[in-house]
Amino acid sequence: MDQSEIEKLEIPTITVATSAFIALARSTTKSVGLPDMAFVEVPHPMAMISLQEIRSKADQSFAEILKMATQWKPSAGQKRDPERPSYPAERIRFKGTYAALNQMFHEKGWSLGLPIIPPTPEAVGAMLEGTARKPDEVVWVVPPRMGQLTVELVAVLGAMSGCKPEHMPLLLAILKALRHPDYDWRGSTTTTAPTAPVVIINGPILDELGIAYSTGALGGQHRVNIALGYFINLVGDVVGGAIPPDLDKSTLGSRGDLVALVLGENEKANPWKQSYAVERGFKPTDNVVTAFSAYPGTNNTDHFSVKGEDLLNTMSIGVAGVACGFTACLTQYDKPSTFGNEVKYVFLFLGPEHADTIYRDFPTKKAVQEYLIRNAVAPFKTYAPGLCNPPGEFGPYTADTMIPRFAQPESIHIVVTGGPGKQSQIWPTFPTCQRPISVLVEE
Amino acid sequence: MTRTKRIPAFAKEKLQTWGILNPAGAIEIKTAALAPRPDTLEGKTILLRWNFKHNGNHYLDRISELLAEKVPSAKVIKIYETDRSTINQSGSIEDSARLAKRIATLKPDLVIGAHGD
Repeated sequence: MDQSEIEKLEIPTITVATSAFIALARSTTKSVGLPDMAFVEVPHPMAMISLQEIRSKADQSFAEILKMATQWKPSAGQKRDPERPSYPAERIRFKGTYAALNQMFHEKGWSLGLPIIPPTPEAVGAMLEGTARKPDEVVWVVPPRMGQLTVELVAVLGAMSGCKPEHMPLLLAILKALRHPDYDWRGSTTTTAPTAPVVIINGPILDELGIAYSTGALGGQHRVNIALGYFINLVGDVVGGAIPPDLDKSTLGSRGDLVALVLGENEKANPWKQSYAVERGFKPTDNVVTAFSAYPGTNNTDHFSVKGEDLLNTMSIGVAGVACGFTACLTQYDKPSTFGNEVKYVFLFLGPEHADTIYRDFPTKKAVQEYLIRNAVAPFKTYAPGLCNPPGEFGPYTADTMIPRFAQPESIHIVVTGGPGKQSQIWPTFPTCQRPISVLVEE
Repeated sequence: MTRTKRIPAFAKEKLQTWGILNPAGAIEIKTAALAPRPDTLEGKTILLRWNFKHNGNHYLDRISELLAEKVPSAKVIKIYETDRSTINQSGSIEDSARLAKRIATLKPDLVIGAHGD
């Protein structure tokens, strides 16, 4: 995508990519308006091989680079997807059983493998009753495929995932958060990492719509949370086209890439009283969604700590260790996620019992944040080579010197959620998701 | 383990005609023009850009050496050594556009980018 923008400034480019990623690279440039570009393909991999090996790959590809620099021409007759209007959506007739209909949807890339509810005109019409927005409005052009997501299609995908008409304002708010440039939807859905969208919901809408925020909120049985999560990933795969193996490059993937994580904050059980949304400037009566892209989280199962400090100590190891291998040290939340500032914030989903334990000794969230950034430390040698670069004022260090993961309290985001039990979760964030995106649910 | 050859519930299910909406969404991509390519690299400015993926810099370092050897009249800029803020994976088209503008200020005749993994 960077190279495409350079070409648009009338500067010719050559992009070197490995054989495993050339399809993604070509698709990316196509999706931003350049159906063909000069690529030099080198055998996979480039990363995690010796200096001698990578220099040898440069030697082997240099002649091709010289040739592409002056002689490359775009291939003629680039095949383009047939153009059709974004609205109304194509009406289709299909004869078969419900199972056959589901099979057809899956074969066409219109589902993720889980069954869908057929988006009949009646079901879609009912969904559209849930919003005053016009059905032809394009709410998002979803990368990497750049499919145009109209309000009508929101209703289609909502119906397919099991949402109800009253969920439409929530769906539209979630989409507004996911499409924000700081979320980095394209990177999150095409990376090799097992990322998943995470959506936290605050406000009276939790009880009004029956959104789960207590026992097992991220598990089964909570049909609203599940429908909302399935909707998000239908948008990503069906309209956005982020499908493995060519465009969704996730090495192993995760179940959060099938049904995204949607949960409410357990506001009534929050000992600090102020909800996460209120902390971010909203009113307690506002309905708010907050979205971020996450690496898989880890769990804290501490049945033993009576003091808040002891519990935060056991959490510290998780906070320091999640997303290992790609984390920088002393990361700064208010700086962009660039080389040396990766994974600059984490979320704590505190179970209410853990929250109570911590609250007894830490009456403010700020105190929790400050304690954790001092104590979430890891030996220098456990950061990947090149990713931990302490500034001069840090002083001398060795391979075993403990170095904090974060430099600023704002890197620790605290949400109280779930039911009884001595469990909390720690969710690290995808590096190019620059910050959590909070959006007011309107209508 | 014995397997059921037929699933009675499915066998009894009647075919029906479904009216449904295509959920995929239309694509609208405005095609942009490609930049004209140089006829030769002699005397040209070639900018090498690394997006931070492991070994991309080492690959480009070697390309720089080869350019110095084969096209000594070309000027090579390793922007990842002069402006570390460009060592980045852009998270959006807006980020990419900002990076492209930064690179354009150096007036290169060609940009070679290495993307790893």
